[in-house]
Amino acid sequence: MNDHTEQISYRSPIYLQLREVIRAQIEEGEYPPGTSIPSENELAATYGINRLTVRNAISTLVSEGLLKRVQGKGVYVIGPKNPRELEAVGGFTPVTQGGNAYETRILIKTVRPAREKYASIFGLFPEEEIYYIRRLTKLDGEPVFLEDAYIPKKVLPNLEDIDLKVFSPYEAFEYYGVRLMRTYQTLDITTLDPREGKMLGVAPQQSVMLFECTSYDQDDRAIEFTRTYVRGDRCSFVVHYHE
Amino acid sequence: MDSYKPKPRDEAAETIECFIIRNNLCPHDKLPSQREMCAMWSFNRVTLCSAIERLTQEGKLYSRPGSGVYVAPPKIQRNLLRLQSPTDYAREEGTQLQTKNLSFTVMPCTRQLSQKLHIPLGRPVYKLVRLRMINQVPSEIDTSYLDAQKVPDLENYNLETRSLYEILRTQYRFQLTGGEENISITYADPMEAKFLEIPENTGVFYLSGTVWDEQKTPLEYYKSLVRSELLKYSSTLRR
Repeated sequence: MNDHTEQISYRSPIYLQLREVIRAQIEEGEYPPGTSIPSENELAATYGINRLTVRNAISTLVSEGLLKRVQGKGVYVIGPKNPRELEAVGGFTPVTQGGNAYETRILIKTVRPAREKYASIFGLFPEEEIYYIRRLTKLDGEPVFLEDAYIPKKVLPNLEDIDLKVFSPYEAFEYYGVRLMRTYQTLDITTLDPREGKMLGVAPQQSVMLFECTSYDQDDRAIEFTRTYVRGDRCSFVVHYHE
Repeated sequence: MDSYKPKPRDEAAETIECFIIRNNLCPHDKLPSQREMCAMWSFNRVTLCSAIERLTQEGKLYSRPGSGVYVAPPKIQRNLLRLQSPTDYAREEGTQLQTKNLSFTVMPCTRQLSQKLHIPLGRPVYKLVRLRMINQVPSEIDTSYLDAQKVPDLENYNLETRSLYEILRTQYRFQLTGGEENISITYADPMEAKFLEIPENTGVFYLSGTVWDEQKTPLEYYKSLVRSELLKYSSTLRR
């Protein structure tokens, strides 16, 4: 990490002064992890400086690992990451044929009351709120997963501000200190309604795999439930086991 | 956040599930009549029927003609974290397993099998096809491939009454220490559909995998077709 003991005064280069302003705002939570900072134009106007200077300030924070530039979208705050690489044991791993170009689109992102079904999964009262996020993932342009995710609002109160095209919910969990310790997964076969079937590109009444996953944190609280419809012709699952 | 209005059928299906939870209904408990449910929740008949159909398809409800709609028992969950044979599953699940040998042949090792079993092309391979029934209902077709040289005289054992893994462990003294399994879907062909007693082209689980010993030497390569109506697979991922 950089040493900030150099005194930044009104005489220091402007880009460094701006760097410290933005850094302080990030540290004080004005721009929480996963959210975007104002645009270059906005910052230039706010502080009466030119855009190139703003860009330089941002570049230094990008190389420090505090910010990340996303083409066409802006500049986002990165949260603290757990440096330890966690080894996962067990579980179903999805395996797809060929291709590496995954593209995920968010179809729905909303807040709703849990109601009894999801309240019983998360240990909430039915009137407590949960996020509901529906995402469609394509591989090389062809749909392969349709995922419905549910997260209690109190687990990630900031989720509405986080751009899920830039960060995955898992990164969001990490930034806010929620650690996924265990997931319970089931794999089943089902058929889709015509509407969802069309999204996934399958014929009506064609079977798909249904992958459901409940994730638990370090206090054994259920923090996420996902129901993913998976095209069997484009994806299978692998499990490794041992005695 | 978007303002999102769920589709009537999805909302109705979830309402029924919530009703089941709120009233602590158990498997085989009867739901109110369709007319009563429509009145309780102000859904129209078509929406409600559609929701019941969806939940039936998901295995959460079932109908008795002329009698009504009932809460279905949860599907058996087969945990895939340990090496288990159908015999082991039946014991755990408290069901009656019957096994029928469909065929037992010797074939020359093909290129695919060579990669799976780590033996050269042409070597004799035992191919064993068995039908499993749970409580008299056909549930899966298991095909096992083994290097004949590793298991001489395998045909002398009764593979209908004994578990293959038990034979490998006790008669051949193999240590079955681990494996890898791939799960996807396939559609039963006419012959498979006939044995499994399901309509042709029904979606079934397709499991294929290898079991190996402590030196990672493959002992068995298998392919199984498993009906999904009564069971699903589960696994736990831990950090």
